[in-house]
Amino acid sequence: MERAAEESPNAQRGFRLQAPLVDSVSCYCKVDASLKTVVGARKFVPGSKICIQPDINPRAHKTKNSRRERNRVQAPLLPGLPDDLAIACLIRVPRVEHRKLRLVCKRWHRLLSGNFYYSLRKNLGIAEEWVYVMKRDRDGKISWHAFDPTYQVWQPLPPVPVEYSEARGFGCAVLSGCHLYLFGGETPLRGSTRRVVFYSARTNKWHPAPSMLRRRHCFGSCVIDNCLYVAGGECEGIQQALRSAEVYDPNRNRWSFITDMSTGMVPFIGVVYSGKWYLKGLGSHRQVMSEAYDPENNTWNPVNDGMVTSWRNPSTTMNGQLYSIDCRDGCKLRVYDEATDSWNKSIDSNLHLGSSRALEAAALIPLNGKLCIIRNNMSISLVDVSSPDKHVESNPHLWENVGGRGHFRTMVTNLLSSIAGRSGLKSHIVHCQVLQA
Amino acid sequence: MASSSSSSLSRVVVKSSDNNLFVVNKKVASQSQLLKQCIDNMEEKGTNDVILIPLSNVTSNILTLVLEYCEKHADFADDDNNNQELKQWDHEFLKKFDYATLNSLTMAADYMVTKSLLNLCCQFIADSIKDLTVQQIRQIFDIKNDFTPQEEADIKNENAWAFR
Repeated sequence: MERAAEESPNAQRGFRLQAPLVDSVSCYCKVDASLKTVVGARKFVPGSKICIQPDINPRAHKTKNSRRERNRVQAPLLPGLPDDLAIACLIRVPRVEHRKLRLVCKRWHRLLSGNFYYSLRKNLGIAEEWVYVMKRDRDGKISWHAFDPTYQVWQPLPPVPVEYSEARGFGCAVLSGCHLYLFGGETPLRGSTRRVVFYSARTNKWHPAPSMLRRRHCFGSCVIDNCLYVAGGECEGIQQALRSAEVYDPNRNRWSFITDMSTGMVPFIGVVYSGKWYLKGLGSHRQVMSEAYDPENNTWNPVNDGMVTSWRNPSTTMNGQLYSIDCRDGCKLRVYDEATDSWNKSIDSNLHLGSSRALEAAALIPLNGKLCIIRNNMSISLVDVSSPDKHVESNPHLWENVGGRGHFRTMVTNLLSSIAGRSGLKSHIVHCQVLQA
Repeated sequence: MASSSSSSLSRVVVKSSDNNLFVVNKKVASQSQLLKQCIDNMEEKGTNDVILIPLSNVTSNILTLVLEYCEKHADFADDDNNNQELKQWDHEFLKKFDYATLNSLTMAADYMVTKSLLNLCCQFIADSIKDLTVQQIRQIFDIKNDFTPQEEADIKNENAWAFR
């Protein structure tokens, strides 16, 4: 009987591979300890790659011989554990500690700055979402910080590239879940720009990206199917608002023009709703106008329905529903009802905060399945809009203030006040996004 | 998960790398996908003998721990997996081990394809890393700091510069 079980090591092995905890390029092949190199293996098995066991992913080593050689001499990630298991442990460390892990040794630093580590976290569903808030301080400079909603702490970030440190009217969008793009805008010295840069939450660094085809600032932008669309806006030296629009596909790594809008527009609000991009703004003659772009047919059409007429900033879509802030301080949300073509539904916190500029709700974004409201004083509320009970009286967890003053521990309060500025009056939020890592 | 085969067995014998034999209830053994696969294979062949499964990678003291875990989880197998009592037990179970034992247990869980134990061990190690300082991590896990002081300072200051 013992023999029978021993006879099928490959069955066992094959089974182990059916339920792998992590992908790994390390080789489990222990056929012969003397076959340590490709050369050594080829002596015995002509034409072999390093791994000579056929049921182990044969592609894993095809072009990665050099990496494998490096692994041979490298110290293990966690001494006492094979690297694949060490990685299975390390990916479970919460994101708030990742900066610390990068400081341990070079291998940890490489692992914690690479796509492999983060795609494993994503695939296992343990990637964490942080809110990134970009604001203009009282001195006119752009600064930004990240908020970890799990541990409720603000995190420092590498400063925005110098071209953007005083820019106005630039766009900000997230592609691939972890790349935050800044594009276009104007600076006092250089005027309108075509420049594009992106920050990766994986590397914690800024990287250059291909420039847009046209210089512009104060334009509209959105992301549909992981492609970045920009449209309209202004360009220094041109009197009229721009009609042109373009799209950036990160997989092709280039910009291309799409159909022009029917008339030039400087958008002040935009949202993607039921597959279309709605934009509302000022036309060349300062008249308010709205258009919708259909990416499937590459067409623009004017819209004048109930959605755009009483549409307010900031707004967003989540799970197919369109939301916008109803009260200036974000104590109340409105929901668009397509059947009646009106914004007749609302969710109320029943707690009006005030109408100062510091308390103004600057952004509305989906975060971990909830709607996240961020105010100029950096206070944050989370609204559980998917909860069936939308009355705060019977459902106290509907409306949660996570980043508000008084809700913080002392250390965070200090940081908060230094971020928001003592008075918090003149600094205001320009962009908010969510990045996953 | 009982097999419909006529020759289903209630017990198997598992042999550790240092040649100790453990008699294991089939329900307990099924917590390990490796053992379960062996049992299923044998039952397909329709044998009536007691199955002996040799585990060449697991010593008897580690195997004892894995089987202790499997036994506890087999008791709760029909319950909801989020059972609070079981979670508490899991935590107490791992808490008493030193790092070397935890490593061996992790590898044994991986080898024996006991996914819940493997996840538990990995999460436990991750949680212990979480609460340590960089110095402590290097000390406890015996990791050499191969950064030059300049490199280390650069990484600490990575939030001071936009492009590098």
